[in-house]
Amino acid sequence: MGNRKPPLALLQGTLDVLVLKALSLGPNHGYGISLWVRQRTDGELLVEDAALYQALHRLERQALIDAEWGLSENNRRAKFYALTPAGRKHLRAAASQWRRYVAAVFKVLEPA
Amino acid sequence: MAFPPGIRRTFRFPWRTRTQIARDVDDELRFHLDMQIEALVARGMTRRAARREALRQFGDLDDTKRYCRTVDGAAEQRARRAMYLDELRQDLRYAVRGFITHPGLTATALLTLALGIGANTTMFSAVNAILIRQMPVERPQELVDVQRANLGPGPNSWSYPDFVAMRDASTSFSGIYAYAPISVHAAFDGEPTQIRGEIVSGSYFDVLGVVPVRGRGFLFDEDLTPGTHPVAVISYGLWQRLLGGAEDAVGRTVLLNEVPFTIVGVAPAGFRSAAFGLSSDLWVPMAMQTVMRRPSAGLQRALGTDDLLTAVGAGWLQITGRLTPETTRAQAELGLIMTDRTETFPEAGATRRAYLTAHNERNEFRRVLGGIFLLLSGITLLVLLIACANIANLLLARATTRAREIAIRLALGVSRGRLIRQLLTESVVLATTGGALGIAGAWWALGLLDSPGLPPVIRPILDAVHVEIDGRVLAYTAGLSLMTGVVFGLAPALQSSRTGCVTALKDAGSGGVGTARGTARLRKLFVLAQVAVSFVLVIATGLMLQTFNNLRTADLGFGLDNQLLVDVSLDLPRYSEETGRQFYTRLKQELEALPGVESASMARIASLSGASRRYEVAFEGGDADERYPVLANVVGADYLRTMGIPLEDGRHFSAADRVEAPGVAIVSSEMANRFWPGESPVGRRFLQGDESVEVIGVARDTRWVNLRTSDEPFFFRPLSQSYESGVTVHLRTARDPATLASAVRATVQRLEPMLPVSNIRTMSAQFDAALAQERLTATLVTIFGVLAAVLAFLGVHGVIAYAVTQRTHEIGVRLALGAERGSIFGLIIRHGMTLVVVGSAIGAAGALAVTELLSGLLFGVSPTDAGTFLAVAALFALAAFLACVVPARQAMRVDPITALRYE
Repeated sequence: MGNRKPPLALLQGTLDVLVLKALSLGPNHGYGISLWVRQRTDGELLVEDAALYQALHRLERQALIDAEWGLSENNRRAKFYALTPAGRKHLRAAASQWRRYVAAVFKVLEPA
Repeated sequence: MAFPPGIRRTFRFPWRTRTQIARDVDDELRFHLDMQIEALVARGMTRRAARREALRQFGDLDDTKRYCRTVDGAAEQRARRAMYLDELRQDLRYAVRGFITHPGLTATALLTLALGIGANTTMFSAVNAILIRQMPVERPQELVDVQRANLGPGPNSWSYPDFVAMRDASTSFSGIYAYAPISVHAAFDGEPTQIRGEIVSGSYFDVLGVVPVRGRGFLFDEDLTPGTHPVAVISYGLWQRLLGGAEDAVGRTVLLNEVPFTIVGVAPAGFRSAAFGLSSDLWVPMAMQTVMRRPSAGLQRALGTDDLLTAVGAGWLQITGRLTPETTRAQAELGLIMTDRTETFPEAGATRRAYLTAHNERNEFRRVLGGIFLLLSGITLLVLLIACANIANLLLARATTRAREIAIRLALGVSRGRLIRQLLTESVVLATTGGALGIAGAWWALGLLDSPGLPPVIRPILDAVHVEIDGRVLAYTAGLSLMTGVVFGLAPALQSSRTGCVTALKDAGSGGVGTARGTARLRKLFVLAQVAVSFVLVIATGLMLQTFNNLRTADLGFGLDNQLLVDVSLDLPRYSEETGRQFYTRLKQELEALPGVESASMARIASLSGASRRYEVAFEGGDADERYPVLANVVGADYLRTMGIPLEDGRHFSAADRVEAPGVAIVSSEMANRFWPGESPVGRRFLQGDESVEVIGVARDTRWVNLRTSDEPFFFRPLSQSYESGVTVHLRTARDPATLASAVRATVQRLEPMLPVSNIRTMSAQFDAALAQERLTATLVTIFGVLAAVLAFLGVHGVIAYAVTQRTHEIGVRLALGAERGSIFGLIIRHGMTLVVVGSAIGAAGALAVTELLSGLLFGVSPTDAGTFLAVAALFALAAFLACVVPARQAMRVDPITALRYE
C-alpha cells in the first residue's frame, strides 16, 4: 500500500457522475457511496469526503437524487439517497458523453 | 432500504426550519465520521488517532456544513413554493368545478357581486376623476394656488399688477402664472360660435410644462404691450372638431371677438386646463385683454380705463405658482410683498393678504361634486357589504350540505389551515370573476355618458370632469374584489372547517346538527347586520327623495311656464355702452313684435343659472365701514312683469331711471325685512360701493339663484343705470315657448349676424338643469337604497326558508302533538319579524348617528325626520312579512307523518 503512486485529482464535473453511478445500484448513504467509490477506483482517484457531500446536496437540489432518513446496516439513523428518474436519465447522458470524450482523447494520445 | 422515488411529493412532509436543516446536515455528517472512525478503530487505531485521521480524510468540515445548509435551504424553499402553486392549481380547479356543478348558486352570487362591485367601480372612477387624479401637467404636486384673504369688501381675486409684483419680487417660485376664464365669440370659417377659454400670462404653458403638439405656447413678452399680440393656442379637441385636424392649422387666422388672431399652437390632447372644472378650448395672452376680457361698464367707469393690465384695483385673475422643491418660506415671502403693496396702493383695497393652498384644493365645484360622490361611494360600499352577507349566507348554506365532504377531508388528515385556504380560494375566485363582470358593467355604464340621449345640462360637468376607468380604478376594483372574497368567504370557511368529523360523518344525512346550529347563528347575525345597514340606506333614500321633491315643488316666486331664455353677449369691441343700449332697445322691440311673445326683458344673470353676484352694501346713517355682501342682479325695465314677480310696494323701474338720474333699486321682501324692519323701505337709501341708491320698490322673494337659496336678501338694479355687455333675454310667451325658438334666433341674427345664438332654452329646461345634480344624486341614492333593501330581504327570506327546512322535524312533532297549523305559521312569521325588528332597531340607532352627515345635502327635511323613520320602519315590517310568508306557508303544510318518518 505504501509504494503506490499518489492518487489523481478529480477532473471538474466527474464527481457528480460517480455519485449518480453509485446510486444507480440502489439507495445508499453518503458513507456507503464514499466506500463504493474508493473501492471501484482502487484509490486511484482522490475523492475528498467534503466534496462528495457537497455534490450529494447539490444533486438533491437539482432533483437528480432524492433523500430520505432511514436506518443503516448497524441500525443507526442515516440519510439515504436514491436516484430519481431525472437522475437516471442524466447519468445515461453523462456516461455516454464521458465515453466519447475519453475515446477521443485516447485516440489522440495513442501512438500512431 | 428502498423506497419509491418521488414519495416526498405524494406524502407531504412537514416543512423544516432553518435550525432543523442545520441539525439534519450535522447528523448526516456525524454519521459519516462515526462510521469512518469505527472502521479505522477496527483496523487497530486508537480512538483519538482514528478521529484525527477521519477528519483529515474528510477535508474542510465547516465549509461543507455551510455549503450543504445553504443548498438545502434554497431547495426547501423552492419545493415549498412549488407545493403552494400546485395546491393553488388544485384549489382553483376544484373551485371552478364546484361552481359549474351549482349553476344557480353561482349565477346568483356572480350577479350580486357584479352589481355591487360594478357600482363601486363606477363611483370610485368618479371620485378618482374628481378628487384623486392630478391635472395632466408636469409634476402637479409642486403647484400651489395663491389665495386672497378677503377680510372685508373688495374683490377676492388678484389684479394684474399684483401678479407682476409677485412674479418679479418672489424668489420662492420656479414659475408663476395668472389666468382668468373667458367666453369668446369666434368665427371659424363661417358659423359664429361661443368658445370657452382662458386668458393667461405668457408663462402659462412653460410653468405647467405643457408642450403644444403643434406650434408653440406663449412667450414671456406676449404679456407686455396691450393689443400687440393677437395670437391664440387652441385645444386638441377644437383643432379636430373645427379645423379637421388640418396640418396647416398653425399660422391660420381666426376671428375672435371680430379681431383677427393667428393660431400659434395646438395644446396636447387631454389638456383642457390646469384649473379643475374649466374646460378650455382656447388660450390667449394677457396683452389681448382689452379685446378678450373687457371690464364691465361700471368697473370701467370706476377705473377710468378698460386696460386691466395697469389697473391696481381690479381683481379678476387667479394665480398659480410652481414651488421649487426646497421652498419652505414662499408663504411668508408673499405676505411681505403684499403688505408692502397694500401700503403703496391703498386704493386697491385694505386687505390683500396672500396665502397658499395646494393646487385646486379650494375649488368649490370640486369640493361639492367630490362630496356627493364620496357619499355615493360610501353608500355603494355598504351595498356591497350587504351583498357580501348574502353571498356568505349562500355559501354557509352550501357548506352545510358539504359538511360530509369536508369531514371526510379532515378525517383524511387535511389540516384546518389547508381547508380554510381551499375554501377561501373558492370565494376569491367567485369574487374576482364577479369583479371582472363588475368592471365590464362599469365600463358599460360610463359608456352611457357618451350617448347622445344624455340631458345636455350634464354635458359641461362631463367636459370638465373626465370620468374613465384608469389603472388606479382597476387597482381599486381588484383590491376590492379580493377583499370582498375574503369578507364573504372567511366566516363560512372558518365555520365549516370547525366541523367535528365524527359528528358530521355520523349524521351526514341531515347535514350535521352541531355545525348546523353554529351556522344558523352566524347566518342570523349576517341578516341582522344586513337589515340594519339597509335600514340606514333606505332612511338616506327617503331623506334624499323628500329633498328632491321639496326642491321640485318649492315655490320659486315666479312661474316656469311660457318663458324662454336667450343669452346675448355683446363682448365685441365695436359695441360701446351707447351702441349696446341701442341694440338692447331694438332687440326688445323686435322680439315683442313677434307673434306669441307677450313681453321681453333682459337680466345680467339668468334665473336659476346658479350664477350670482354680490355687492358690498352699506346703509345711510349707519356705519359706513359696516358693509354687507348682498346678492344682486341687473335687469331691464320690464323684468319683474316678464317674470311674473309681483311688486309688493312702490313702483317698477321706468324709462326715467337713466344714468344721469339718481340711482334706484328694487329690493326683495327679505332685504326689506332684514334692513328696514317694521317700516316701508321705499324712499330709503343705501350705498352700493360709493353710489347712493334709493329704494323705489319691494319685490316678492324668489329663488332665482338656485333652488335652495330662498331667504337671502337681494336687490335689482336697472340695466338703464348699470350697463352690462352680456345679458340673458327673458321672454314671456302666449304659447309653448319652445315653438318660438327659431323665430327668436332669426330675430337676433337679423339684428346682429355675428352673434352666436345657441343657448335658447325654456325656463322649464333651465329649471331641470338647475335640478340635474339633485336629480342625479337622488336617483343614484334611490337605486342603491332599493338594491340594499332587496338584498337584505332576500337574505331574510333565505334564512327563514332554511330555518323551516331545518325545523321540519320539530314542526312535525308539534303538529303530531296537536298544534294548530295557524300557530305554526305564526311561529315562522314571528321568527322572521324578530330578526327584522331587531335589525331595524339597530339600523335606526345607526341612522340617527349618521344622517347628520347628510344635512348639507338635505332641503326642507330634518336628518332625523320622524315621519321618514316611521315610514321606513313600517315598510321594513311589511317587507319582513312578505319575505317570511312563503316559507311560513310551507311550514304550515308540513305533513307530520312524512316529517317524522324521514327521521
